Amino acid sequence: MSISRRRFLKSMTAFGVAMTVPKAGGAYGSFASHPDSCGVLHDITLCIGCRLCEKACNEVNDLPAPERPFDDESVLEKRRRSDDKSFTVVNRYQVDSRPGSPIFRKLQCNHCREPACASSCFVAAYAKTPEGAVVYDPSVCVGCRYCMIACPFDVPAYEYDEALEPKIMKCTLCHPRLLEGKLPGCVEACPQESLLFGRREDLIAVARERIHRHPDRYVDHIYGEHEVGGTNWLYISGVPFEEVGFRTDLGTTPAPKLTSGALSVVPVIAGVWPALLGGIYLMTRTKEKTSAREKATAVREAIDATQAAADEARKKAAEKAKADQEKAVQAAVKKALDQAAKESAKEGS
Amino acid sequence: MQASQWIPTALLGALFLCCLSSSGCTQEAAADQTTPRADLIAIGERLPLEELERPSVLFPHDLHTEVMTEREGDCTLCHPANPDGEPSPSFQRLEEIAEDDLIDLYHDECIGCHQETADAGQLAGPVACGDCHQREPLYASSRLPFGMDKSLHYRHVKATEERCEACHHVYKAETDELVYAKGEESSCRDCHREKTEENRQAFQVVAHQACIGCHREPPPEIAVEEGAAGPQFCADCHDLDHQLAIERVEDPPRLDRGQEDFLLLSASEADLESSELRTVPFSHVDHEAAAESCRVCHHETLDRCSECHTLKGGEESEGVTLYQAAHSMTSDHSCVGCHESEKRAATCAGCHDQMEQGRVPEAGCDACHAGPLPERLQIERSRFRSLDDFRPGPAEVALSFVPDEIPETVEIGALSDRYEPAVMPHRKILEKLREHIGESTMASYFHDHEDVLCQGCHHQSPRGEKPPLCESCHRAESADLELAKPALQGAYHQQCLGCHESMGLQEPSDCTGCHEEKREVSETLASSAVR
Amino acid sequence: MSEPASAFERPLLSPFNVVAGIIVLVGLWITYLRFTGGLGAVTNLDQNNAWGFWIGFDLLCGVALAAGGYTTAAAVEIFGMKKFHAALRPALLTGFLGYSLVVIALTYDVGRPWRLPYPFVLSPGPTSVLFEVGACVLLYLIVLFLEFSPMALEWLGERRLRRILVRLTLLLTIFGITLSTLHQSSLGALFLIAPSKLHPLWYSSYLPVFFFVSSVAAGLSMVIFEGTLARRSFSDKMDDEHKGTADAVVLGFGKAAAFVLAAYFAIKVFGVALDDNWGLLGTGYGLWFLVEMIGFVLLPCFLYLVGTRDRNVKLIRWTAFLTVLGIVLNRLNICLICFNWQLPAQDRYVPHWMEIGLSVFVVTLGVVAYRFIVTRMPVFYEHPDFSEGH
Repeated sequence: MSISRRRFLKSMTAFGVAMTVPKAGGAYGSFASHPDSCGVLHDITLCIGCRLCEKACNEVNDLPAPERPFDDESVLEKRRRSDDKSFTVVNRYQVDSRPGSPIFRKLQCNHCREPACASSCFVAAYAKTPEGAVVYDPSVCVGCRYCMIACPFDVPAYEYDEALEPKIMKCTLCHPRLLEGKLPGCVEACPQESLLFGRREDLIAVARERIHRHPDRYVDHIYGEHEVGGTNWLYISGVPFEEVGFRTDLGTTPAPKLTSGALSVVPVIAGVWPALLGGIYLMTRTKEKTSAREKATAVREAIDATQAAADEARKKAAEKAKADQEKAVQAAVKKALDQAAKESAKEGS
Repeated sequence: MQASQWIPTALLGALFLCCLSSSGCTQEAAADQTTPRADLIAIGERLPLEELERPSVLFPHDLHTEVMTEREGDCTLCHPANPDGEPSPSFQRLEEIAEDDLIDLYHDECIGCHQETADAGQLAGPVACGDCHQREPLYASSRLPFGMDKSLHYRHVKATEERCEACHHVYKAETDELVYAKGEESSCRDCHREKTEENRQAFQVVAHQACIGCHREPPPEIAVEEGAAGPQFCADCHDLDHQLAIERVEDPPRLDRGQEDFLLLSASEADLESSELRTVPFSHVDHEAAAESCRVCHHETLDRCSECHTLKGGEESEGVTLYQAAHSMTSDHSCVGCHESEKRAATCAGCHDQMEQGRVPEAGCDACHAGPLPERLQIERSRFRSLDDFRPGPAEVALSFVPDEIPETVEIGALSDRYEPAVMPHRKILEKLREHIGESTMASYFHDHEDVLCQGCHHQSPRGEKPPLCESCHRAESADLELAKPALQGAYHQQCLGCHESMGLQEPSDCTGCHEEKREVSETLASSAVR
Repeated sequence: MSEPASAFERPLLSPFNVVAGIIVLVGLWITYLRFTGGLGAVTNLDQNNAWGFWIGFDLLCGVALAAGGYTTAAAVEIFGMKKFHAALRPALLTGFLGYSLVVIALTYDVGRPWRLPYPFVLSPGPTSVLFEVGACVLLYLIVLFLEFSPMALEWLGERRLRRILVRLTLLLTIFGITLSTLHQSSLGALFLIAPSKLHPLWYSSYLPVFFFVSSVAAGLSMVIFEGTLARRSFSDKMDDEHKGTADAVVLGFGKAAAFVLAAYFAIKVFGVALDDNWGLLGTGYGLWFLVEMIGFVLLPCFLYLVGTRDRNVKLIRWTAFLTVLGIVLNRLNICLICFNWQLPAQDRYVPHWMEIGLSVFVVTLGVVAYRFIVTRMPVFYEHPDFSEGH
């Protein structure tokens, strides 16, 4: 790798800046919501299951006519949920503590204060309006359906039969009508005034007042006051909520807080990982280089040592050879002298 | 180990775990098959055992009584007779024994008998541990508590030919014996409590001994028709269907215990000096007629309430003051509590459900505290003999204004849009309400003026001949959240439908029962039901 | 250094081509139905079950199993383990193809696929974990493409461009590992928003960590698994260096995977302890959880260790297959099987055969592309013109 240290540091800095993700965390639970945020109080003890709310919703939102008319009571035999052709349904429940008298209850988007759908939408197709309604913008929706996974109340419905322009369908709290100063269609249509529209604080006060005045009639709990951080659609009931189709195990943590922790770690990884990995790379490379260098040094020393030993041996061999040669010469000389002396002695006698 | 050996082992292990997991899913189904019985005795829970290692045995007593009858035996088969000849309330013992011996006793006797029966070739009970100590019990207890009420008491009075001594006694400590004292008869429970205290046995024990003992073997002086003197099986008294089948005597003659017909209620003598509240005229005779038994009010003794419930409360009344005893909204024994629950009856609930609960009753304190001041009690007591001295009795409840002024019908058309105006049968409703009030002494006392009736619907407005229309206060456009006041449509429907629902009326059953559809609108509705 | 076999030497109507052809035709027909009839025409998705087999398998499993790219790159480039060098290119190729297939599958699942760029160019929703997943996957796909391109460029003989890209290797590797960490963990974080719908034994605030750690094990195992399959079909393409180090790769990656699986098992146990969910282990779902943990995490961990100790390459290859199955099981559990577990049985989701058919189609496309590339480009061997003696 022939990247210089300077270039490396520069590119890391640029990279780090580029990876700055917009702040996704924040102090959840401290947002008190818009002051005039409105909602609806649904008093379940007053609902008679006439389904005029469903009819009004159908008309106001120009939804297709249903298979069976709104005054057909047999529809109530099956438990229904909102779907791509109806924003709201009324369900009937038979409750053990009130045998013989069924209990009716209306279901629709609860317009949470901190909506899970808005938090989960990656194209920001949902918005919590100051009027309190959670509205959906089909002009940016990609159709990923993560909002359907996120919603704890299983509210958003999808147009699975649309090939090219499928939309999410859900209650809008009649937001356009709210802006004109009118009531939501269902609230206006209810003959029993089981649905009451107003500012959320006022509705909670009314609900508390009703429970206070008629303690025998109501369960002492306003559903939606704290569930998943609070919703703008509130309910009071005469029987325990789980008996009329409410989930009571949703907790009070608002949905965005569930993922804000994980998202807040993203910038940390984006910042730390490059430094960490770069550091490990450098350490590995240094280790490799050092070991390569040591290896080379060791090889060279070994070669030198061998060479020196060889020279030494050769010198010794040469000297020995010379000494041997001299000895041999001396021995030959001595032998010749001895021979000459012996011959001269033989000639003299 | 080679891979070729590891893999199959691993997969088999996984398969095994899968099977285990699927078995977990099926276990829930079996527990729903419980049969209700009224004679179940949970043996383990009644014994003085340190802790239970196994689930309590649910013992079906009637089943065993039937077997006993078939074998022409008697109770002493399981309940040995004491020296007086009475069967012991406990199983196969006359005294309490040590825990280990107790367990052995039950096991030996029960399993022993079952085993013998089985050996004799007859249908026998279980012998295996888990068949008695069932984890998923086959039976569920449907036992309801049972007690004596006026009707049943009168039948006993007739059966014993007014020999009160057959059942009632008092305990004389000096001679340590039970004697009959005329004029001191009261409920068994006044002395016999939930648990045995020294020589005073628990109510449950004595009730069964006395009642079933007499039913089994009535004393010779009591004439008995063919068959048993009374029920002896658990279900006969404790099962709902049997309870409903007990022959009732409507309006039994009044029990004579020397009680007053009419009283002026006040605090006890000791407290009277510090009480400045007017006394309460109280028609004891009318309340006797309304209560199922004396114990509804006299829940501990037949003494006056103020004997135990002093002004400050005390140990005897467990801290419940006289005020609380008389005014608690939720108690069945208190004056106000009973009146409140009476108002929940279908004939009263139509108006009273709409009214705010748990607050000072609409009548105000002086509706009851109408008697003379305590300091004048001695002087004035003789002046007042009955309730009629304070309020008009039932015969004198009358309309304070001319009946013709109440309209026959009222047309409600302020919101008429999809429907024709509603035609309300005003006079008919009012006359029906008067009829209901006339049937109840209590209601007659409190609804002393006719225009009180009007307040049921014409609420929050001055009493008089011409109450304001609903639309005067309930705006058509919107509700008033601050006052929690519904808009007009909601007001109409909540008031009318709310009353009908509280009174349990079946008619009208749909929208057109009150107001007919306008014809052109009904065509629109029909066309909206598109195929 | 063997020469690439000519494309004409392989018969056109080979059994593989016939089967692949049928699958592709069925896939194209399903494509037609999907874009004319909507999702309802080809899936069993409904208002309660919005994410089905395509998300569960193609997206979640696909991304997890394509993790071999970054794990091998980390081992070779960052940790300097040169002996695994021969495994790098195949792993990067698989990663690139894997992520491409994920994007292709997404275009089917999402309602308006042409709007997929919207979050990044028009209307970002940065509070959403999905936004982060999308951004990271997009960037990572680009990184993988750049890491893959030298192979193609060598095939095309483009020297200069190739040299530029090779210089970027370290940068791309670091960027790729960072992005992978982010999006692998974020796929787990997707489910944090639905605690009321995911069974408590699988739901944990540690979901992102679980997904990341298991993706490392998945990547290592997939490299071994693909190596096994490649050996069978493409050994004629492999050069001596590749063949010689194949066993070393298996042994080395097997040992690493053993440690990763052990760590994964440990943190899963801590997760159960943190939420005090021991009591749930006795329920039906609890036993299923134990099957997943013991049979598909603990067992492969143990087998990897045994294989490493005994230098049993065959055992490690089988264990890799088991681990891959375990990862698939884990992702399907979280997305489909243990999701919406509280709904009554008649409201639960079962995939339509067309959903499975389309997933098979997408995988087949990937396999076909893989074959095309490895039979022509220097993946299993070094191009003679470009061997720089690593």
